[in-house]
Amino acid sequence: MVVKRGIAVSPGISIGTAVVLRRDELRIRRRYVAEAKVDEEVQRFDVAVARAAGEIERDIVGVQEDLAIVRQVLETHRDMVRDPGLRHDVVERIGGKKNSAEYATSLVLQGYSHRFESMENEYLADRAHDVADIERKILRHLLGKADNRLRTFEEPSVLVAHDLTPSQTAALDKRNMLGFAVDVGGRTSHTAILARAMQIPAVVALRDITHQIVGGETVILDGYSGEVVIDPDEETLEKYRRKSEYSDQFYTSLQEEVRWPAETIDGYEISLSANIEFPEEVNAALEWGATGIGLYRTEFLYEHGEPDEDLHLRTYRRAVKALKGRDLVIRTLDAGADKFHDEAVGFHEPNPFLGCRSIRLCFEKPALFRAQIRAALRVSSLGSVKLMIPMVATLEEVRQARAVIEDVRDELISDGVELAARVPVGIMVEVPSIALMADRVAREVDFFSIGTNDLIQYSLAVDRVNEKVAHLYQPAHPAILKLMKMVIQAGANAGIQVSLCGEMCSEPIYTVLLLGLGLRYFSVSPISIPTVKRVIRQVSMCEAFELAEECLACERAEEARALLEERVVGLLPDFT
Amino acid sequence: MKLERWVEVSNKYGLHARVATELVKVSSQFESSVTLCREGCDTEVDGKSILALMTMGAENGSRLLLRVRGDDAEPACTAIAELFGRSFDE
Repeated sequence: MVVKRGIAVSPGISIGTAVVLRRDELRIRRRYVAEAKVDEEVQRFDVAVARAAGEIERDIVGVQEDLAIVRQVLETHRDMVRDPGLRHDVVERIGGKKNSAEYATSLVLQGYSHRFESMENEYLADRAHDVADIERKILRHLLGKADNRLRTFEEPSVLVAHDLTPSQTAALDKRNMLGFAVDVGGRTSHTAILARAMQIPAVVALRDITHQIVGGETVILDGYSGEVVIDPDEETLEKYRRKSEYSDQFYTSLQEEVRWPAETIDGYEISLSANIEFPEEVNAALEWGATGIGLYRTEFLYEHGEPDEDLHLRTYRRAVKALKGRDLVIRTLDAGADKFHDEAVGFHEPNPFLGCRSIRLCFEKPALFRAQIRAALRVSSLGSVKLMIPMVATLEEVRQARAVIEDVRDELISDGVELAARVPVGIMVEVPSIALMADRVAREVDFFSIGTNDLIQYSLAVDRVNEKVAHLYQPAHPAILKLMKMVIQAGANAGIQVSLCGEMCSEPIYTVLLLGLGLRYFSVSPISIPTVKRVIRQVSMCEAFELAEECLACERAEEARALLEERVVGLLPDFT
Repeated sequence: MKLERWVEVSNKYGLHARVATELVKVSSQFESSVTLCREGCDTEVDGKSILALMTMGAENGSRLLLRVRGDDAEPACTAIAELFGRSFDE
């Protein structure tokens, strides 16, 4: 069983057999033609374009009445194929540089693709995929390759593809189509738009799902959380069957509640923001009712090596713009044990969780850190941006990080860059040493965000992915509750905001307890917002305090957990 | 004949795919050359090229200078300005 996480772009849960749609492998070599062959080459291009356009025309005729969106997409593709600007550039390359028709087409369209990718408008940037789609189509006709599109499914299937192109989708048999799981894309990709139009679940940005699946496996597609489970065991299957039934009812009943405030019955308003990984998730988070983004993880930018300032900038700008003035808490690099980390550190650390990760790595590589800070500060004038430093263990680290940020700020000001008057800087409280010193640290930062995943892991000395000890990972452990209470209290005394962004916060079973510990700022996964809100709206602060006191008085995590379970069942009767 | 006229993009997502497709459809019905140019920018974009139109990044509210040159410039200019005027029926 393997679990992958991407972006959920169309709600629902489906369970079916995986069918992998392989991409046509079209390898284009750098080929040149003789002067005398130029006209012939141009003619080959014209013929390929005419055939490609004809193929799209036939697809347009075949589109079902109710899928107008597919027809529109195909019309756009037809115009792209026939574009006079494209022809002009290709002909110029063939005539001037003596490129073969294939090579010229590929170069010109890749140029357009890059131009789209660098556009700030998220919707237009996603059109790079359409350009890639028509590039493959023209090349296929130039190379005389057959069209190997898959058309029918014999059993209920989950379609797995690198990128589901609109022309592929148009040709699909919709009857046995249960959902889409694709490597690339965002909320505005065609896969997403089509899935929503077809009302089937879809998860995009799974990165390498096409390498993990060969076809024929059972796959669970969770269009609420963005999870895809490959080869699930019986227990997991059962869990998702139940979740599917529950979720469909629950989420359809939520339409109205999304706009209601997260307020306790005695009138305490709670801030519910979202944790995200991609700027494309902002809109989904807002649709679920998020008041802002409490944790924006930036690690994905480091997936292909060190990102430059420009890449950071373009990405952050999209997130800030989509938020229209709501808070965006950007967490600086929090790399753990992954490929980038090994390369950046220069060797494989025997114990990366206690090694040179996150802020420690940033201090080791000042240029890398500064590029991220520069970009984050540069977008500060466009909205409400906050910076969050992960993994700090000492007061010196807090001071050093702040000094770097101040220095970058001065540098930008002397460069004449416009910045927000104030960019709050906070820290993740996830190393026990800093939690114990919260009262001292609170005077030197603008906010705290408790990272329970690591705080629990470090405090209880448990690696939760190690199945031998996973049962010892207990969020309701009295020691953890004590630490959290201390941090929240220290923040309140110093008058700074304390939020919680660990997974614990997204689980409704802990919501009342966290309220009782004094937490007012929750940051949860977008999909959990409605559930957590439903709990908050049903309790009073008074009963929350009582429950927290009872849990703190427990000797063992199991006792506290039992109390919490009993409480949540009363509030969310259908919740399992 | 050469005609010039200011038009404004009033579509929520700017000159996006469907809008650009519609624009190409109408401009291509005429013999005249059609170009658009963003306010404060010198680059003329071919009004019959969907790739050029979409990559110019004209967002909602952008003002564009429409230039039409050719024998049927007058009806072309009117038809295109009208499309912008009714926000491409969106």
